[in-house]
Amino acid sequence: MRKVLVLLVAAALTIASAQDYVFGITFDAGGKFDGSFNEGTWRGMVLAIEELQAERGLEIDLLEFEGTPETSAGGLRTIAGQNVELIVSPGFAQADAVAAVSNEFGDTFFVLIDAVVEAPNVRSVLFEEHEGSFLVGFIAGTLSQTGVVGFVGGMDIPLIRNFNTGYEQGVLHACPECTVISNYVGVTPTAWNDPARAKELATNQHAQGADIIYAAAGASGNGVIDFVNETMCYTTTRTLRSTGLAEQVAQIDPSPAYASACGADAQPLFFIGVDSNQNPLGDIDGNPDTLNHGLTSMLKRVDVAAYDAIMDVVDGTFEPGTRVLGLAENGVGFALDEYNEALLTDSLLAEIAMISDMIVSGQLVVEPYSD
Amino acid sequence: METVVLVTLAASAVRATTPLLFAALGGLFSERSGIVNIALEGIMLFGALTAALVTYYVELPVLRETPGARVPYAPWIGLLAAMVVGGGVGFVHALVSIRYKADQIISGVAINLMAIGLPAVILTGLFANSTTSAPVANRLPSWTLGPLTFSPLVYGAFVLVPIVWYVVFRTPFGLRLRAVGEHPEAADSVGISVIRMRYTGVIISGVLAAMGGAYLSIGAFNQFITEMSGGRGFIALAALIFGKWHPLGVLGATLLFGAFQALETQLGGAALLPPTVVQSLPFILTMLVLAGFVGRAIPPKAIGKPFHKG
Repeated sequence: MRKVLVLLVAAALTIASAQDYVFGITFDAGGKFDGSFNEGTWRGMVLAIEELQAERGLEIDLLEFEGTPETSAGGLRTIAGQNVELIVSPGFAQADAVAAVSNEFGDTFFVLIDAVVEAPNVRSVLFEEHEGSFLVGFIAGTLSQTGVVGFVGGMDIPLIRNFNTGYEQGVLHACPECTVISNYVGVTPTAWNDPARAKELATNQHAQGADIIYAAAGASGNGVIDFVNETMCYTTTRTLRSTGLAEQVAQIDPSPAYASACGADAQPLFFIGVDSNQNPLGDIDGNPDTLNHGLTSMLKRVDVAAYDAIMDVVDGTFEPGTRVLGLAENGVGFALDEYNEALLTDSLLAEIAMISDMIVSGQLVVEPYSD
Repeated sequence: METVVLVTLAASAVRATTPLLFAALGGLFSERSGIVNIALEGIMLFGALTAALVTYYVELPVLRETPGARVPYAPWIGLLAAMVVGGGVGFVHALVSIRYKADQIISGVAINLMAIGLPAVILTGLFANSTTSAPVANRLPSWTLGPLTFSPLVYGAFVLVPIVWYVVFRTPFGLRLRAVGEHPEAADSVGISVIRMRYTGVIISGVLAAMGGAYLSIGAFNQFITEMSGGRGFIALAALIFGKWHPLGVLGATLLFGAFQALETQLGGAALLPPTVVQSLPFILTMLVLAGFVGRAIPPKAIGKPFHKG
C-alpha cells in the first residue's frame, strides 16, 4: 500500500512539473459531490481550466483533497508543497488551516470562501447571502397562500442566520402580515447531515401552516425536500391569501402522483433550495413539464469566485484581500429554469428585477445578521 | 396550541423515539450479557448504509426495464441485509471483546470511527461522491392503523418492547443471558456457555441497532447520508442507562428523549430553553442517574470485564 502511494505521489510530481499551471482545491466536509457548495466551487475551477486549455493551449493540472476540518491543514500543506500556483479552500472551517499554510508557502496564492484570513497571498471571498435570501423570501412572501412560510437552517451559526434574516426581510417586504417560522437542525456539525431531523422540522412547520419552506441546511436540506415531495399538497379550512399561485398551478399538468393523492381543492407545497440550483430535485416524475415542487433556489455563485481566481492568476492580476460578492456582483441570485418558469409569472419576475436593482443601488437595504 | 400541531408533535416524538428504541433495546442484550456496546452509533450507520445500498441495487434492474415501476419487496430485502450486516458488525465487536479480550470501549470506538470512514470509501467507489448514496425509489411503506400512519419499523420498535421483556425475564435464554452478565463464573459452574451467550447478546444488539439505522435511511428517508445517525446511538446508550437496563425503563427513557427532540424542533428559535440545553438533556439526566441523584442505576455486575474460563 505504501509503495503504491509513493508511486502515485511520484507520478503526480512528474506530471506536475510538466504543466504550465497547477492548481489545488481542498474540501473540509461534505465531499466533492455535495450537490451544492463544494461541487459548485470545483465546477468553477474545472470550467476555467477547460477554457484555458481549449483557448490558450495551456497544460493545467488540478490537485484535490477531500478531508475534514481537522485534516485540511495537512491536505493544504501536501498540495502547497507541489509548486502549485493557487489553492482554493471552500468552507469557513478551513480558515485556521489556510491562515497557517499560507504563512508557510508565501509564493502560493490561496482563496478562502466564507471566511476571512488577512495575509498578503490570501483572497477571502464572502457572499451577501442575505441579499440572495431576500429575493427568494420575496418570492415566498408573494406566493404563499397560507401566509405562513418556513425556514430550516443547518447548524445554528451566524452564516446561516444571515440566510434566515435576509429571507425574513424578503418575505415581510412582499407580505407584511405573513409569518416566518425558523428552525435549526442543531448546534453541532452533525446538523449538516441529519435529514431525518430536518424532515421533522418541515413537518412541524407545515402543521403550523407553512406552505413554502426554504432549506439552508447542507445535506440535511434533502429532508425538507423529501417532506415536500412526499406530502405534495394540503387541504385547509383556513382562508387562503389570493396570490395568483393557485391560478398558475391550475394551468400546469399535475404529476401522476399528485393527481392521485391530491384532490381538486388541495393546494401544492413547495421548497426553496440553496447554494446550487436545486429546482430539479422537486421534479418527482422526471418530467419538467408537469408540476414541480421546487419553487426556486437561492444561488451562491461559488463557481464564479473559483473561476475568477484562476483567471486572475493566469492573467497575473490576482489581488489578495477580502471580496464581498452580492447582488451587484452577481455573486448571489435566484434560480429560474424549466422547472419553475411556469410558477413564476412575468409580472413577479419584473418585480424581482426591480427590487434587485433597488438593492444594488442602495435604495433598499437588506440588513445582514448581527449578534 | 392547535390540535393539529399537538398531533404532529406527538407523531414527531414517536418517530424520533423509533431509532433510539431499536438501538437501546439492542444495547440491552449486549450489556445484559456483560459486554459494553458503545458501537451502537457505528452499527446504526452500517445498517443505514446497507439498507440504502441493497434497496437501490435490488430495485435498479426492475426500474431499468420499466421506469417508475413499484418494487415493493426491495426495501424489505434492504432491511434484511441491514440486519445481517448489523449482526456481522456485532460479531466483530464480540470477537474482539470476547475472544481476544480487548478493551470493549476501544473496540466500540474503532467501530464507530470505521462507520464514518468506510462508507465514504464505498460511496466513492459506487457513486463517485463520498457523502450520499443515490436515492431509492422504493422506501419502506407507510402503514395506516386506525388514526396512525407510520413506517412498519415504528410499530415494530414498540412491539419489540414486550417481546424483549418476555425474552429477557421469562425465558431460560434470558435467565442465562442475565446470569453471564451478573456472575459469569457462577453461570459457567452450572454449565452455561458464557462465551456463546455473550456472542449471542452482542450479535442481537447489532441486528437491532442496524434496524434503527435502516429506519433512518429507508424508513424516514430515501438515501444514506454520511454520519446521518447524528449521535442517536449515544443517546440510545444513555437511554439504556437511564432506563436501568430494563425494557420498560428503556421505553420510558427513549420516549422521554424522543419527546425532547420533538419539542425542541417545535420550540425552535423562540425557545423556552436554548436548543443546546435540550440536546444535552439526555446526557445530563444520565449522569444524574449514574451519580445516584435520580434513583439508582445498577449495571450488570460483570459488565466490561472479559471472562477468563478457570
